[in-house]
Amino acid sequence: MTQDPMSSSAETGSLQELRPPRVLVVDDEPDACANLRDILCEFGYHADIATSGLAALDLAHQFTYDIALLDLKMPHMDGLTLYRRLKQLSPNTIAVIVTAYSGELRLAALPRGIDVVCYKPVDVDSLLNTIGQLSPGRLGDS
Amino acid sequence: MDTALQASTAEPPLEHIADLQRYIGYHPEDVQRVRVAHQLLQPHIPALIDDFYAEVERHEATREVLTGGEAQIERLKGSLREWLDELLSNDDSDEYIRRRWRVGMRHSELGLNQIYALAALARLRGGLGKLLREAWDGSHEELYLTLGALDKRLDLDLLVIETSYQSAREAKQQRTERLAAIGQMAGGLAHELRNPLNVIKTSSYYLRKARQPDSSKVEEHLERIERQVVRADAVITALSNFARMPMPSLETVHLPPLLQQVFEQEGLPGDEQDPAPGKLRLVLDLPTTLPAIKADPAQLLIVFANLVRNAIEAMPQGGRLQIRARHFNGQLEISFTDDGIGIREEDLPHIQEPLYSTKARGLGLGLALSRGILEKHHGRIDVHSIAGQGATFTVRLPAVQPSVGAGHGGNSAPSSP
Repeated sequence: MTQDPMSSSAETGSLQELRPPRVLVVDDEPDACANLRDILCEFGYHADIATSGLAALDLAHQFTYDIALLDLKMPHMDGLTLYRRLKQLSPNTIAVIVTAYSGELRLAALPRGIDVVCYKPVDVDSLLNTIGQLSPGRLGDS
Repeated sequence: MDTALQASTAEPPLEHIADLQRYIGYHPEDVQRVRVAHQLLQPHIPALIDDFYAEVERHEATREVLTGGEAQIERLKGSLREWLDELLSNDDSDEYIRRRWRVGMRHSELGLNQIYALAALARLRGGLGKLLREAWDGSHEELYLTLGALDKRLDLDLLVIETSYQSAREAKQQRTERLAAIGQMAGGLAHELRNPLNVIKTSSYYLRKARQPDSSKVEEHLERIERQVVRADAVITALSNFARMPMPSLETVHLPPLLQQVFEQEGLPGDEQDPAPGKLRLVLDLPTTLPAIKADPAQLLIVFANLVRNAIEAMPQGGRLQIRARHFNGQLEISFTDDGIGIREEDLPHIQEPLYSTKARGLGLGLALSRGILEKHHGRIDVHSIAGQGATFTVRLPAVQPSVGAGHGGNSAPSSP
């Protein structure tokens, strides 16, 4: 499923409502999910949360997500497996891995297509910046 | 010196040593002969000791250990003199054994190659023998028997020293293994602590940046921070418990009140109840005739709490946990049976290793720690499980045998099950 990039034409002055980018937050720690949702909402995003791979895929069947923030180490279905299945379901969703594994994580071991890796405890400004750049239809972004 | 090492080697295994001494067979006539030898040898001992230390100074390896100069050597000569006097006067009291034990420990601490201690004793043996032959004015037969008695006396002492060396080596080995496990754990630890830190950091970000957070939102975030601090602390506690695990401080412990403490700590119902969906049903089968055990209650609490927690985690939808105790073969057998997800066959051999975990959370130390604690209690833990069909963990600990009537000094025979 592709999304129409929303554009606003500043020159003509027409106002088109920007659809707030939709973010899927997945982490087996509910507090971590809740916090990212609170922050994302505060900054104008729409965020849904899931505390397991299955719940995440369930949501992805129902909604289209621009961005998915995925924890790596989760019981039952880990982050990488979830990533693969999510990409099959929704190829245009951009995946950001958010992990507590330390910086020496071998990036080469990650499948191609993992767009960004972010390390816990997250630098929120940096994450928001990244999400902003990856989101479709933001003013000034291609 | 490392406290753990000290604690584990503080007391010699007196009974074990007594057994070995009986095996060597030091008889009253030997005692008498050594007494005679003592009288003959006494005037010559200072010269023997001077010669002994002259030899020590001649060898680089032993000389290196003596860093305190003349003063230290004088002290050591004095100690050696005292020891020889005690040895030859047949002091084999527990206090004497403890002193020799500590000497052995000190050697290990100093890093003295134990071969040198054995060689030193051999040298002393030779020196004493030579002195005795020179001073002897009795029959050859009697000299021969007296030398033999002297040998046995020295062997008894050697036995104590050697036992202390072995104990020091074991403790050191354990310490090395533990440090290695801790080193490995650093990676897992980083992960386990970064998760709570992440929540704390993101909550504080929100609280700082949110434009108009209502008070319930603020409260939510503060609660999250609190929760995660507690969790991070638990991770640190688990690690330091594992790292520092002290020798158990043994008391007479009864199982039912200890289990009650575990239930209170883990927030469990104390008795059989109607299971509500998602809740745990606890079933206890503890005969009133259960014997007590000799254990460190704080450490056993860790073991049982770990098993209970594992059972709860295996049954996220709720379920049944049965705890059953039996007195069997001189042991107390306590089994924890859940009807949760069970353990896969390929995981079974590994689950008691440190750091091995089938869960996404946690360091994987719980069972390794429990096994370590039980080993120190002369107990064990066994697992039986089929994936998907629950698991049974069985803890076995030596039971305290009740003494049978007055005048019976030792333990009675184990009661039949």
